[in-house]
Order: sequence, then C-alpha cells, then structure tokens
Amino acid sequence: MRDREGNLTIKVDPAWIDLAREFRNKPFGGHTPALQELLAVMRTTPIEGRYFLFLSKPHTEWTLAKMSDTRPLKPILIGPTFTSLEEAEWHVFKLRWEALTGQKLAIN
Amino acid sequence: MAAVMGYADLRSVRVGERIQFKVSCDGAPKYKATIVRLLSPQSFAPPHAPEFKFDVMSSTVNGEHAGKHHPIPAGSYAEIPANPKLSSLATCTLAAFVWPTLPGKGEQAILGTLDANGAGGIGLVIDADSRLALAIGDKRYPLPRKLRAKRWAFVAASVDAAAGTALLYTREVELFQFDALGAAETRIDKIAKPDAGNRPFRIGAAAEGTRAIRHYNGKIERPRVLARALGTPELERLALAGPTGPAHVDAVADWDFARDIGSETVSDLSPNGLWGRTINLPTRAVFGSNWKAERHDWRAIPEQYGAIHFHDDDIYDALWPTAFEVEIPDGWKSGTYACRLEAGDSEYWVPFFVRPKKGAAKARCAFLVPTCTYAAYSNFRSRVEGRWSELYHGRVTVLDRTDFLMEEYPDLGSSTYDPHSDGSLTLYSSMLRPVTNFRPTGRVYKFCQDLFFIAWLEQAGIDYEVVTDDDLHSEGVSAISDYACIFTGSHPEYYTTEMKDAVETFLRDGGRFMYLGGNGFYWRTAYHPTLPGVVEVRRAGQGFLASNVEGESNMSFTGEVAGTWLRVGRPPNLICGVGMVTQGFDACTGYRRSKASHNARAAFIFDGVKDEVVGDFGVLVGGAAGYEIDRYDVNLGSPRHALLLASSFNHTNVYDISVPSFTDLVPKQKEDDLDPVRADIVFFETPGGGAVFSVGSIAWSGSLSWNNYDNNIERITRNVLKRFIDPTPFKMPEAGA
Repeated sequence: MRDREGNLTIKVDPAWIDLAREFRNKPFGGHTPALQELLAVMRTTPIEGRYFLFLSKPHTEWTLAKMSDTRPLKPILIGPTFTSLEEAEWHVFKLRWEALTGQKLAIN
Repeated sequence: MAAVMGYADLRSVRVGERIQFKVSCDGAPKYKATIVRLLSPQSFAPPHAPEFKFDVMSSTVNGEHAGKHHPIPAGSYAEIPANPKLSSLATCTLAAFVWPTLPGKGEQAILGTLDANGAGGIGLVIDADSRLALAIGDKRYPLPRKLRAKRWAFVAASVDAAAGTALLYTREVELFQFDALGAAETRIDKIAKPDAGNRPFRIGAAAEGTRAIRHYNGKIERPRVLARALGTPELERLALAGPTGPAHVDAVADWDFARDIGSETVSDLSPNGLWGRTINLPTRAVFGSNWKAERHDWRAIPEQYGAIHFHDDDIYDALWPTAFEVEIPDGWKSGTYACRLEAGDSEYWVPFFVRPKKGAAKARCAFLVPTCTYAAYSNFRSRVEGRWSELYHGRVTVLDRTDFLMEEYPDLGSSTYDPHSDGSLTLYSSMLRPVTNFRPTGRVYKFCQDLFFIAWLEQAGIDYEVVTDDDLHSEGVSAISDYACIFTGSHPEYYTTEMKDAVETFLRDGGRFMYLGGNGFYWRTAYHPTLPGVVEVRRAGQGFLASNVEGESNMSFTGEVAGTWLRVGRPPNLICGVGMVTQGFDACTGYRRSKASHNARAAFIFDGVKDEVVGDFGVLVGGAAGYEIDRYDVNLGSPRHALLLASSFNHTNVYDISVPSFTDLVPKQKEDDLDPVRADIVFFETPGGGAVFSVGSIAWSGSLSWNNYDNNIERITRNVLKRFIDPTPFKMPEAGA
C-alpha cells in the first residue's frame, strides 16, 4: 500500500517474529511474499536519513552510516563496524523493525 | 579533508600517441601522480578473488605536482559572440517562447547581454518570484503574473529607449491543455537607460565576466531581438503565429533552434547572421510549443522540435587545463592502465587503455573494453541518491568516499540514469569530467569488475590486447579485424549502430565472439558526430527504467530512432543468441547443463568438465549467473541452430521486481519448461567459419578466480578462447544436428 505521499506503508505487527527469523536465517536470497512486502517498505524510505554501509576498508570492513537529512547528502558514520555483510544487513533490519513497530526485536 | 580528482582527454590511446590528464586538487598543496598498469581490481580476499595488483610504469610525470582547485562550469546556454548589432541595443523588442521547469529557483536569465560584472546589459529574466521581468543592468521591471512551470508561454519586452518606457507581455500558448492563461501585460513608465554593452549575447544564462551564471531551467524556442518596440497587437500576433515562419521583418536576430538540431550550432534567420553555439550540451530534439503529436521523428518535422532544453546542471567538458601529458612509449604492452592521484587521505584513479601501434597487433585475441557503457553510467548518481536502488539490489547500499564526491561537488553532473535538477532525464553523458565510478576500486561493477578478466588473462599467461568501444565506433570493423577472437566485458549494455555493424561484419568474416557478460547490446546509443567523449541515450518505449518523454524518441546526435535494440528491431539475440531478461543483485546462482551440452559440437567447450552444474560459486554473491541475466529466445531472434548449453536456476524474488514485461512472469506451462527468469549459455556457428559463445550473465567473471582459478567456469572460458583463436573454421551444422 502507498500513503498519500507515495510512500510504501505497512502496519507491522511485532508478533510477526517469524518474518524476522526468516530474514535472520537468510538475509540475501529468496524470501516469502510477506517478508518481501516488509522489505519493500524498509528499503524504499526517503533517501534522506536512510541507513547505508560505508566501505571503511576495501571489501572487508563496513561501518553503519546514515545519510544526512538534507541534500546534498553527507555520510554520517554511526557505527558499529562489521566484517560480515550478513551481520550488517541483520543489524539494519533490527533498527528498521524497531522504527516500524516501536519495539526492539526479541531475537538476536 | 583533501580531495583530488582528474580525467583524461581520451580513453583509448595507441603506443606512440599522447594522452593529457586534467587534475584538480582541494585541501592539499601538492598531489602525487603515478602511471600504473592495472593487473586486477581491488576486490575481495584471496584465495577466491585475485589480490589487487598493478605495475608502476616508468614515466617522467610520476611524482609530486602542485595542486590547484579548478571549478566545473556546469550549466548549459547558447552564446552569440559580441556584435555591434546587439551591443547597440536600445529601442528593441526581446521575445521568445518559454517552457520553464523551475520558476522560482532564483533569478534565471532567458536571453540578453546581462553581465553581473559592471551591472550592464539588457535582457529578459524570470525573477526569483517566478515573474517575467525586463532586466536593465541591475534594475528589474516585473510583470505581476507568475510564469507557470511546464506551461508554454510567449514572453516579450518592448523597450522604447527614447520615451524611457517598456511594455511586458505574456500569453500561454498551450495546444492541448484546457487551463492555458490568456494574455497579460504591464507598462512601465520610467525605465533605466538601456546599455546592452559590447559583450556576448546569451540564451539561457547571464554572464559574470567569462563565467555563466543565473542558468535558466526549461525550454526556450524561437528567441528573437527586433529593432523596434512592438505594441500589444503586434506582440499578440507573434504569440499566436507560433514559433515557425521566416525571419521577422524587424529582426536584429531571429534564432531558429529547429535548424542544425544535431549540432552545437544556433542558427540566425536574420540577414545579420548572428550565429552562435551551445555550451555544455543543452538537450535538443525536444518538443516545441507547436508539437502536434503527429510524428515522433524530429527529422520529418523539425519545426515542431524547435526548442532547446537548458539545465543548470548540464556538463560536457570541465575544461580544466592539462596538468601533464604522457606519450605512450614503445614497449608498453596493450592493456588497462591508470593515472593514480593521491593527496593526503584522498585517492583518485583515471583509467585509460593502450592499444598497439596501428598495424602492430600481435595477439590472437582482444578484450573489447565497453567504454560506451562506462560513458552512459558516468557519475551514476541514483546509486547514492536514488530511492529505489536498495530495493532492486536486495541489500543495503554500500558506498565509499569517492561515491560521495558527487555530493560534495554537485557540478560533476549525472549519468544517463539520473534526473536533472528539474526532474527531466539526463540524455547526454560525457567523460570529459571526473567520473567517480570509472576506477579499479569501490563497487565491483563495470570497469572494476572487468578487471577480473584482466587478472584471469594475466595469471593464465594468455596473450591479449585491448580495443575500446570508442575505437570500434570510430574505426568500424578494422579496429578488431586483426584478431581471431574478441571478447566483451561483463556488461556491454550500450551499443551504437556503428559498433553493432562492426561486430556483425567481424562475425560474417569468420570472427569469433565471446559475450562474457549480461544485459549486453541493450540500449541503442549515439556518440556525438564531432564532440569526443560524449554519448546520447534516449529511453524511448518499454523499459523498466525511467523513460524519457515519449515522442522525443529520436537521437538528436544522429536522428536515429532510440530505445532498446529490441524496440528498434535489432534485438541482442541476433548477435549474442541471448537477450536481457531481468536483474537482481542480492544473490547469484549456477547453471545446470542441458542435453545439448553433450552434443559433439560443444565437446570442446566442456573438455575436462564433468560437473552437470557449473558456476555455483563465485565472489559476486555466490554464483556465475546473476546481477543482470539474458536468455535464449527464438522469438526474439536467437538463432535456431544455436546450442542452449546450460541454464541458471533458482533466482531469487528480487529478480522478479525488474522483469520489464509481465508476460515474462507467466507461469510455466509444463513441468519441464525452463523458468523464464534464467541466464542461458549459448553457442552457435556462423556461416563465415566464425562462432559465438555467450554466457548471459554479468556475474560470470566473478567466478573465474574461484579456488585459485581451478574451477569449471575458468575451464569453460579457457576452452572456448583456445578454440576460438584456432584458425580452423567452424562449420555450420547440418539441419537437425
């Protein structure tokens, strides 16, 4: 669904823990339709303020960062630093889950 | 923080020729330059990816240089050299049809001799409140009604210098919209004394000395300067007469942009011959105010394409002075090179490609470097700023400092994937500016990824040379006819007619062609006929990317019908045997061999390969099949005698997002049908003794180095190359073979 500004929206029930588990097990690759819908919302927020990974060491180390809230975009490094893209992806998922549900994810 | 950047005047240079480097350096008094030969990309860790390697070349330019900042003069306009006919303007009428896209974005100059230095000149502007205004020096005389965005309006100012009065007039002239506004005018009793000044006349910008400022965003059509002050009835007649017709009887200058559309020339219909030229390639071959939706080819009805679309972020040539030049000495091997620039914590690479002297090619095979595609993607801003990038890549975006140079220096401009500041799609992309995504570092994609081929050739000890798209376009088949076999990069997506013709001629003459990538030969592209280093892409018709305006469907550079090669009638399948299906960057997969892979015709390909699944490994997210993928389809021109050797399977749902047509998602009809979302490996012979081998996947090159190059993808690639450089002709199969 889209809201009046064209943003994809979804009301995320914190009880959908099965979707979080599915993502934890396989951050990259085929996902169920319900998880695809959730990821589509998480991955299409306005670019201003969006999370991304700053390549801090070539292809071995990535630092969690955010785009500035205004353009021209500036990288704001917020950490932590990861040595695995899967772990970084999961970390971002948890942050976005919390933003959508207002609750921290109960799984690691 | 220091920031060093650079670019070269050429991408391709032969031994004995010279290449010039342009460098700007901020925040550091000096920078270091080093000429290197690139032997691999900076990518992932061994043993599955090659180490980052380059040889430092002996060159007098290696070492420290004084650093200096150079601006990038972005923003397009047209300029007519200073002329007494224009500098003596006093009593006159200034007029044009305009279609502003960003009224209100500060003051924007429509036309005139305005110069902020000395506060001189006369002209028409849109003021910061979106109103049409007469400008005399630093004085502004607005008409109260605001000009509306994306509405054609005739605008004019009649100046009576003797009386010290002026008349401003506007009238919307939309053909198809119901909400067009009628005429509005205002009279001004006391105006400053006009002083046009002996300076150039500009359309789409004002001047500040030699700099262009106050760039206009939007279209301008039929700008005119008339020798007397017209009254309201005459202005109304001009508005209603539209933008066509001969020069006005009172014309000092009467520019007709419907002429010379494919060039930088701005033609004057008046007897004064006040011709000019465009700067920074504003977009031509766009609808005028009189476009009637009858045809889509500007060559047939140029008078309906008589507008020019100016943008404040157009950039063709950064025009930096040459910092140093390098003459390629005898003894430098043909290959991939770069000028490495370092200043403090800042690093920048300017790649270039060295060919042998003319007639001195020795290798049996050549790497056809996809510089046309690199040009189309130059400064791919949407990967940083775009809202949908993360969704269709299926993973959080990874960026480095060089990617953010586009944000720090907005004047670096955009690629053909990005919107201009006014939202219109960028159609021209030049390499005569720093290109942040043309380097051996950062995202392993395009040039960086293509260095996997170089690393493979180097470690295998295969003798090769390089040829670029620029060479293929300008020289035709003679650029590659010295070689038995040419092979592509990972993503040769952008092809001009000349390049396609050259590859087809090469194949007809018995050449062997290895298409080692995905989404190749996809968009018809045009190089400018006279300006080096710039391409045009118009995304006309179907495609999953933002389209340009439907109906502005022919190239301005060449007049050719634009769009995908499938749309224009020469699908990639004709040359490659496969054509683009979809893309997805979250995960790659392997290929399962078909029964046809055991056909005797393919025995040389699978020599020593026992596996039925190949390429289910790789440093590019897990497999040789993925990123962007192509499949065999007889309905789209894949040769019927081709062997479909293997097909990828189990692509993720991210690949479904970008399928351009819903018909590709039709469920399988039979259980043994192949999934329509797949990459195919295809082989076929050509009548002249040549052959084609295609892999239909960008990610192929990411599997070559797996397990220290001991794997089935490496073996297949080497088998094919070995046979393809063997002069023994291929034979077309008997029917049914």
